[in-house]
Amino acid sequence: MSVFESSFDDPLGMWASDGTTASRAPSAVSFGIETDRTTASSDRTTASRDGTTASRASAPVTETVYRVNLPAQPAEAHAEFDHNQAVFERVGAELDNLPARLENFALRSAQSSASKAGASFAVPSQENGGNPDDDLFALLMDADREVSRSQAGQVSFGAGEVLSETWQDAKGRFEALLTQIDHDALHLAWVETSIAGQLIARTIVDWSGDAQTAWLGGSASDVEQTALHQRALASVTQTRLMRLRLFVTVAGGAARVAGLMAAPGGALLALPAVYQYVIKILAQARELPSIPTN
Amino acid sequence: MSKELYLNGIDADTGGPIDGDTVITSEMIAGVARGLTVSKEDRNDAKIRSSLNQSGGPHFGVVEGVEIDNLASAGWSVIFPASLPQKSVDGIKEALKPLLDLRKEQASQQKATNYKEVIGTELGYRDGETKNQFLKRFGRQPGPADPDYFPFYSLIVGSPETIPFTFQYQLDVQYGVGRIYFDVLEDYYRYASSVVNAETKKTTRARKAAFFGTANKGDMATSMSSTQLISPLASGMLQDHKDWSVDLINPADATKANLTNYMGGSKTPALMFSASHGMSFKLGDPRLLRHTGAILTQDWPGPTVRGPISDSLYFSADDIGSDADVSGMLAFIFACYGGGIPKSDNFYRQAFGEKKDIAPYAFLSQLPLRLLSHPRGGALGVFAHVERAWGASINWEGDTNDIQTFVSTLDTLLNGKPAGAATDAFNSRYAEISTELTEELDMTTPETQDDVKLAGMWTSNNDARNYTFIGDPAVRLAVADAGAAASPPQRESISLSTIPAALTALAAGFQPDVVVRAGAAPAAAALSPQAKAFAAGEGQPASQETSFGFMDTFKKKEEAPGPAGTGTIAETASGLAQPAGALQNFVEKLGNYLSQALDDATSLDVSTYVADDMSAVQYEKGQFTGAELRAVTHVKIDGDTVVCVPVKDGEVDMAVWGIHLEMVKSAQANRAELMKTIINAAASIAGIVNK
Repeated sequence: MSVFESSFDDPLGMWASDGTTASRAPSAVSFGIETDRTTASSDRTTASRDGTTASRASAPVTETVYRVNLPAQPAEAHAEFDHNQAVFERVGAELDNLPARLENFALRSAQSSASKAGASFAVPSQENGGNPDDDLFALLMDADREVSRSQAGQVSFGAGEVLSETWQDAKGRFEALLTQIDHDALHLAWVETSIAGQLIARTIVDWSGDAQTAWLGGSASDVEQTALHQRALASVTQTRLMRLRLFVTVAGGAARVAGLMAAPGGALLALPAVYQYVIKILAQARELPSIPTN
Repeated sequence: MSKELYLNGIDADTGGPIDGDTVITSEMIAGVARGLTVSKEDRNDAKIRSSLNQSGGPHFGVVEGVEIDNLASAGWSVIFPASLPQKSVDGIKEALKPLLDLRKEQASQQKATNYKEVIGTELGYRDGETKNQFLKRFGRQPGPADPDYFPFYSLIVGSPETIPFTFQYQLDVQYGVGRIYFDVLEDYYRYASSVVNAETKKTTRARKAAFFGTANKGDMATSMSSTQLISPLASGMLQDHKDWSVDLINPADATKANLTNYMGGSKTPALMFSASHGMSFKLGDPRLLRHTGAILTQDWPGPTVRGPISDSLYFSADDIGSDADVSGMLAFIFACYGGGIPKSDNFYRQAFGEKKDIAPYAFLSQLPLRLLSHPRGGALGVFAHVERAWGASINWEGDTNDIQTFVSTLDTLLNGKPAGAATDAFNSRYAEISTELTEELDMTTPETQDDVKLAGMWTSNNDARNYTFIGDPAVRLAVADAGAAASPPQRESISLSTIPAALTALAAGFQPDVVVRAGAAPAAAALSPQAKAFAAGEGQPASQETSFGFMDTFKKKEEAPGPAGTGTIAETASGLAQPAGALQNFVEKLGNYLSQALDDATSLDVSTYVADDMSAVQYEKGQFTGAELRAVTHVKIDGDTVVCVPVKDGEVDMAVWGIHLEMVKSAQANRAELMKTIINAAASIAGIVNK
């Protein structure tokens, strides 16, 4: 069991999936958004849950569930949050830097587009391997070429299938992000804090921050436990807001690099590629060690 | 000859100096000094103060016959901003009641007028007032304090946005001034109770001082402060105050872990003095408000190892744990921004002719505030530096190690005098240097001026001016009597459960002034036109014909030919008839969500339930079942608040109420973050759509 668990796959990697992922498979995710906001109203009847983290709700759930499973010692529990917070801060700082980085990428790529064009036939590296700049360029050129072929009525074979698969994968991941933002906005979030396996508090919180919290009797007078649950809530808020920032960064980045593509609708086509690029950079930031202490 | 100068601040992103690779030289500072503009009234004040200093009388900035260390003689006042909403005035006064009652009793023993509450629209500090304009309303002009007109000791209660640092500096020249400002009402109460407990001898500390100084590898600033400030201060105190024990922490041991021992841990002294770099963060860095001025410890490998600085290398408010014991302590934090930060960098403006914002608004640093408001009992006060701390003030003209100002400040405290009197050494120095500096500039020409001397005077002038006291200026060291065996301090926990019910009821409606500002006008002023329009169009239907709202951005796009697009990326990529449609559709709906969130943000609802069996708790029809609803808070955007307070056995259930208030604070903080992100996102999305 991880300390930070969520019922959604978290693109930022801050929360581990708890196996009850409510999201649909990326390939089935619509790019559009559910329009029925009434499902987000707070008068819905939802599936009930039992009170322990060991037993998970099996019924279909519409809320995102965030579970924080903390050790018994307060110092250790706070250390878990401290570590998570440090990662949040690194990821946040990297998100701040990314627009400038993408701008530089676009400028450099435009200057050397002729020589880089050959790289577009290389298979982009998977996940976090390889140079993110090279991979981004390759994915952009891949999408550009595929669209051009489509418009020309050509059918691609061989290497093109592989490239397309990579792009499709990136596209699926980006769509999952959109679904999650959609979900955040439409649905309540359940935030549960457990200490040594004992559920001590559950908060139902909506998109705007209205919150209802049920406390286990004894925990309602324990300042330390209150502080820990507050930190859990803050982590969830940060996660939701970080997803929004992630989307804005990707969309802005796609608009910046669209000029590199010849096909119409370049910004849209660039979205999955830029998203994959951003995720790689953030993954690196997550792993980046701080300056070692003496 | 030009000389490189040292600052006690480090940028968190680069691990380098605050000003990047710009080396600040004496020549550069001399240029700033030459462009110095000193108002006539400031100059008169400095001259008056300087002449009083030279007269050799026992003045300390008060008229003859007034005893500086006797509150009944010197008087005491509390100053609120005139613009503070009545709800907040009521709340803060209630929270500070223990302290106000004590000071009233002490200060009005000889004359009732020696105690003043400078509060409300008539009396309170008015926006933009100078010190002289303020004092004129009380019949005073520049000169020594006369408690018949206005008391010598003044506690400012307000953020530096409502009562500026400059007012505090000006008033401090002749008066004993301190300041407090907290985001939540309970912290005022905690601080007030801590001071009262200390003065009524409920809490005393052993006569122990600690001197903590870093000397980071390859760093000239901390090398100098370690050898020329910390070491001589500690050895001087050992020699002159033999009834005190002194811990001198070697630089090698000046680590974060060890500082934890001295700031709330088992080695916490009555008097703590630290000298180090202070942390600086770029505008927009999420740590800026929370960690500015934090103490960079010996764990930092030094300026030769450039790279981001994580919080494991510095000591911030977050490192004062809930179990820390800092009650009754007085601290002196020598570090850039240790006490606070102005909105704009004054030196940069004067040196480079451009305004440079370094903070979203002026604020007090969190470390001293956390020390003062600790739930287990707060520190009595913190001497700290606002803005940059300059090494030149330790080393006069580059070759004379002179720390007498620091020595005098500590001696005053150690002799049992109030903190507001102890700051007098810095104020005298400020007045003296200010007078000399302006005379030097008047009497000489740039060609004949010595850059090093001028720079030393300028930096020492600013350095002395910017030392402030955070806390009530009438507090004194709370230590066991001299000669008596150091008895273990008696602690009285000021936990949530002891906060009066009257205060908890007021707390829910209390709005700190900076939060109000950040959420309203200044934030909007800083927005792009699209975001402003978004804010203006909040809640307006997208179909409305005349709309200046953010959604117009999307309406225009909708009018473009092509499908609105609800298909997947895959469909779009294969069809490519109008690929912008799908993204536009998403962005439009995201805009709707953001707009909806702003609508929802006009009120905040927080409910607290308690259950004996969490497995029986279910969420149905918008509320929990299987749990007992104990407290509800509904806060409207105008500050009106409806609260349902939990009652147990006919009395307020303080345990549940305390937890509930904590949840309200969390919700308010989360809401503030949400609003900030939404507004930023709205501006970014508008930019994307318009491309």
